[in-house]
Amino acid sequence: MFLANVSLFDFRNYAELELALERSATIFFGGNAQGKTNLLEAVALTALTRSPRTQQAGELVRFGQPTARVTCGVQSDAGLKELEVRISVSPSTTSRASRRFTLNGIPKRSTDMMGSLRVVLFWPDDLQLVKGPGEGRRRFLNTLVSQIDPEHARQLTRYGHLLEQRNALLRAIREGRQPMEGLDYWTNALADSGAAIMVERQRRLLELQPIAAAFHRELSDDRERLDLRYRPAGVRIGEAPQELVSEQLKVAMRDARDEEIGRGQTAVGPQRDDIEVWLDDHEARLFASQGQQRSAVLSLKLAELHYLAEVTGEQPVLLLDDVMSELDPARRERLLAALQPGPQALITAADLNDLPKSILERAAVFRVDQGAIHA
Amino acid sequence: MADVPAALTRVMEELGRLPGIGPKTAQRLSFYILRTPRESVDRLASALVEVKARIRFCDECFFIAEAPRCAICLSTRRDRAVLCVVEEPLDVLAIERTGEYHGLYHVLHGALSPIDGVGPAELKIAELVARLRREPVSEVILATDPDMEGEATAAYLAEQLAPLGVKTTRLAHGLPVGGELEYADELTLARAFSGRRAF
Repeated sequence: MFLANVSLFDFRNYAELELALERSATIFFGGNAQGKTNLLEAVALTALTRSPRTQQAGELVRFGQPTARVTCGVQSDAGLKELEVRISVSPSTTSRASRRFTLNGIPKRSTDMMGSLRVVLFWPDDLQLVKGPGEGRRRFLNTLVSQIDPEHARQLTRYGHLLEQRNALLRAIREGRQPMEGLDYWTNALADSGAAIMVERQRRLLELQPIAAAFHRELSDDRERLDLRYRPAGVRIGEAPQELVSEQLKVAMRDARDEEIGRGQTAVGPQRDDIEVWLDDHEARLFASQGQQRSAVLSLKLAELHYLAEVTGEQPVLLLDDVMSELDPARRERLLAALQPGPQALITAADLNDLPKSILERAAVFRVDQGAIHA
Repeated sequence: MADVPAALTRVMEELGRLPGIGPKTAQRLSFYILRTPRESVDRLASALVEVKARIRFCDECFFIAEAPRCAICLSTRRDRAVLCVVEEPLDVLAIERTGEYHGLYHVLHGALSPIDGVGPAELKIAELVARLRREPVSEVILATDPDMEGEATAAYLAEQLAPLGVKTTRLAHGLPVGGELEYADELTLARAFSGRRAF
């Protein structure tokens, strides 16, 4: 699939923008704070229903305006689809912003938007993917799987909601405001939902692992073996069917009941999972050099791209935000090799000199200047 | 903004407290009331006072009533062996409109939601259990909403009612009538499949 056009209205620093895109690579260059990243963010927002940069949707609306709109025309095997997101801030409650989605003009829930436009993002933040906390790796997997299977996105939403309710009940029990007897239902519902997420994570990670390992072998000149190890919190999955994982979660929650009530927080479940990245016999987060970690990150991202294309039968859109300058020439070349003939790519750079000639020759190049785009 | 007389501000504030009414709408309604003839404002005011004075909740089922018992509980034409448990009085009206159901009701006045501080004690659950001990009911239909809180409430009720030995059923989930299959979300469709019936 590819983006045929993007239209913005009062989004971040863009008052209005109409942009037609080619199937090939498109490069946006310009100084800082001109709107390069904002443009990629708008596309990511449409694809993933949330901005990867902020939790506060209100920040996406141009300063002093009531509503932001992003419309993306997506050409895929299924034809041309129009995806639209509107973010509205009400003047009285600036903190809460509402998000509304339509697909070909029909209102949709956020989870029903997933999969209509599939993207792979690569931001400077992603360079922390291996070294940083587990949350980043969980988000990596959530984003990947939700785009393949919107049911996973729904399950994650459901789980988050159940978790909030159960944690609220644990706190209420601790403070003597609610009796213990209501807890069982939330425990059971949470365990069922959590088990569905964990089994899916395990399955997808097993499929992703050899692809990431192959990329890493190549990037390390056959010297390092990369391994992805799923560490589900509170259960052992192995070959266990979902019902058994759910039972394990229920038992773990029952065993930890006093601790959970004391802390007002659920102790086990997918919100505490980790995905460990190992290089040979060492966990990369702790023992790898920065260069090795960057190679591992790049391997994960290339695997994401490859896996999405393989499973869905369609190339996703690659969004590269200013990462070229962060990579050395060898890794840059490897990343660019993945684009040929591959997916449509939207690439931002502060300086065109950060980009190899080979890509400049075949890409459409735009200059971004104060919320306007010039050919 | 120019100074608004206190009497007008009060109307805006009071209207603004109502659910679904934001500050803008409250303003518009207030100015509408200003323009409206005296008699119709009086009618509105007395209607509000009267509804509060005359309408209460039924002692038996907690649906709206003008007397200790509501019209449904007092009716001699209802099947007193079946009890339908719902979250809100509005749900009773919705079910009544179908004309399909002829039993009695029990309104919980909410659903379990720890985030909102609603536990079993905040709902009319103890009253339901007492009622089932007292009355010869053969079936309880759990008609709470099919969302997480409604499901939690139904599961909790099923557990509480089990020792009473009364048959407990849950409203079926399925496709909306007149809808198109392709527009149904996956969960609804999946539930419609698992709940399919011989044709």
